[in-house]
Amino acid sequence: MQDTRQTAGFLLSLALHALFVAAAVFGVGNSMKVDMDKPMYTVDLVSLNPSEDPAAGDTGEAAGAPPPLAEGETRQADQSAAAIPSPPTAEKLKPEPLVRDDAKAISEKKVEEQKKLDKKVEEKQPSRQDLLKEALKDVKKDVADKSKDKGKVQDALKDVRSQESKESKKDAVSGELAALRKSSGGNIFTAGGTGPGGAGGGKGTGAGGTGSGLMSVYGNIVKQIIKKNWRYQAMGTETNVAVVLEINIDPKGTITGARVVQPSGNPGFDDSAMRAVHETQALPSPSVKSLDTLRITFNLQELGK
Amino acid sequence: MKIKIWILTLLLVLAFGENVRAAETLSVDIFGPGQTRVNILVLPARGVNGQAATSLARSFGEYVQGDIGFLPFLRLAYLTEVLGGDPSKGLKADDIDFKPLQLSRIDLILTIGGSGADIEARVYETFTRKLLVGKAYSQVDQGGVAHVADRFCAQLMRVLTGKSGFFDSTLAFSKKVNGGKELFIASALGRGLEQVTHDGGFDVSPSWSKDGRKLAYTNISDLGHRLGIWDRSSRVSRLRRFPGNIAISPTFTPDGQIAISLSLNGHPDIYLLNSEFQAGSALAPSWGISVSPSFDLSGRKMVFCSGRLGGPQIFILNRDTGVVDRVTYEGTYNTRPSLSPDGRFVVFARLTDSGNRIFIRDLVVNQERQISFGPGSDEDPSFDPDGYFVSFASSRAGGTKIYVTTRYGDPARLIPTGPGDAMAPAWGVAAALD
Repeated sequence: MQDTRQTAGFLLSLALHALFVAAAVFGVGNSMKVDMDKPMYTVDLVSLNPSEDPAAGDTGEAAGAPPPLAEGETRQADQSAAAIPSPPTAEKLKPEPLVRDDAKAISEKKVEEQKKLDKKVEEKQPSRQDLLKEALKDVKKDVADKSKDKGKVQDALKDVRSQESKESKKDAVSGELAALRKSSGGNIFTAGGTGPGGAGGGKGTGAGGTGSGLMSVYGNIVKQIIKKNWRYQAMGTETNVAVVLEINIDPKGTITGARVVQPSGNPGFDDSAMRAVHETQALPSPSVKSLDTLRITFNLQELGK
Repeated sequence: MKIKIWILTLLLVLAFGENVRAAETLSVDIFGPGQTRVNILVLPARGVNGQAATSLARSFGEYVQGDIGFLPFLRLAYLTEVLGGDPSKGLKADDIDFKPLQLSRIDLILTIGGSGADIEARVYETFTRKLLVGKAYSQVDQGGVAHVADRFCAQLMRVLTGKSGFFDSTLAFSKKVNGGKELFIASALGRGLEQVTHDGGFDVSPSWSKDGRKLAYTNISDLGHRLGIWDRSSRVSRLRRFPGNIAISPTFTPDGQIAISLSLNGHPDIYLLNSEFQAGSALAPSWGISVSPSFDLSGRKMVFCSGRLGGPQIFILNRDTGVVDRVTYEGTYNTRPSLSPDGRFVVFARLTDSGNRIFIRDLVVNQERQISFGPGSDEDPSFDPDGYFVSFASSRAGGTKIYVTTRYGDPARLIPTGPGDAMAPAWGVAAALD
């Protein structure tokens, strides 16, 4: 009899744990009704819509998404929820401009991509706003009551925080884009440049990234950084030389290893590529967390010259 | 029990769910290095066993640094760029601390040692610590140290780029002497300057034979135009007259024939001469003048300047098909073309609002670029045997002098040719002055 009870208790415990883990993995609070079929976060991650730019809050209401949360603000809400039981107000969730204004300018290609994404965003937007409001309502209610267990509050807050971190991640990417655009003269998708005579033609080369637009943006960032550190005594006489390197990065973007996977046949050329990676040391943290390997082809080709 | 298994399965899926999304790989293509110059540091010369460096070794170092200045793919770094100063205690890899060099982004390091009339020099790659070039020279005297430095740099260039035509070839050019012009030769660095003709009148537009044994040129005097051939082994030149009294811009084809503009039908056309110096049929004949032929290494492509469509423009003849294509469309006055040995690039002079400037046209991608920028007038461009360097004559600093740039338009460097105007440089494909 006791065994049966123990087993039942064990099973119940397991079931509860499973539910808890499920909630943690999918970032869903118990009090929220979410249609799991809708990939709402995916939309946020690839979204580079200028209208979602927090800076847009200065001039008007953001058209696409709910206002992003500033890191500090949320923390404040967190602290106040934990220590002083006063509910966070809606005012605290006002957008705070994190990205420079010049981030609004975006290449046409991306804008097109954006338009497609906008449609998706529009479809899902009301539910997201509702969700946030609901979450906030829950937080207010829970904190005011003081009677509910703190897990619920924390779940809701966790949710808010996870959304906030995704928003800020997006902001960081926008920031990087803006910086890149600034340094590369307005178009991050242009490799090479014009030669001293001004007649040299830059040719656009997209990163060979697979998957989402963010991957390709990250690929472009990697390309710019490593190319900058790559020195080779190019006389332009041998153009069909290429070496493929595989680089391991940790989630922070630090290069943890590099090796030649496809030598060029010219050891000096291979060394120059390894040297460029060695000098680079660290890259920005990848926007896709599961990304841990970069396969970089160093081509000795005249594009800019 | 079934519930138990079901729950355990669920737990496992949840626990390892993250790992199901396997690690991702991103492929990135980088086209061309961000920097086309590598950094080289020449360490101060050392003596043996801690002794002070000999003046010979020091002077070798100075010449080497001067030579490196001509190579646009190398940047001379300074010792002050290295954290902690000189990182070496000797000449070999074991005596060099490569860490600070790597941190300072020095790619190559050159050590020089000397004792008595001996010089040894080594170049290491700082990232791999590999020895790229190591040479020892004995019985060097002060007069020959420049030549030794050139030889060493030729070897370094060969290791780095697979080419060394810049150091291995001889430049011939026309220079003002006693109211006329005579031909001179020198290395591409201006060393070994020597007058080779004494014809009187004006010797202009020299062209080397592929083996570097002969120079063809035009002598202009009261007697009209004459074709001159200077023989390197006998050091004698012979002049020949042609019917029509016109003989302009003789050029050796890679197989040793001479193409020259002769006026056999009332206007200059380009003819190939046989071994008896007799003209065959015209190459790319037209009613307008055709001058300044230049061939690729195969000899099957010939660029030339012609007024067949009005003003002088550059054209290219495919000798296999006989087809003539126009190369230049911009500008109203394009002259003196020189074809790169691989037949891909044409350099030529174009008259612009600010004087003549050198332009290059890539025949494969059909793009044009200006590679010389004056001031004054830039004329007579000529490719080196590697198709990388371009020499030309310029009046940018007063009198006309010879400068060298690259096909990318790197900053032009003056080639010392002594006092007096120098012009019409031509690169010899064969080995440089011995």
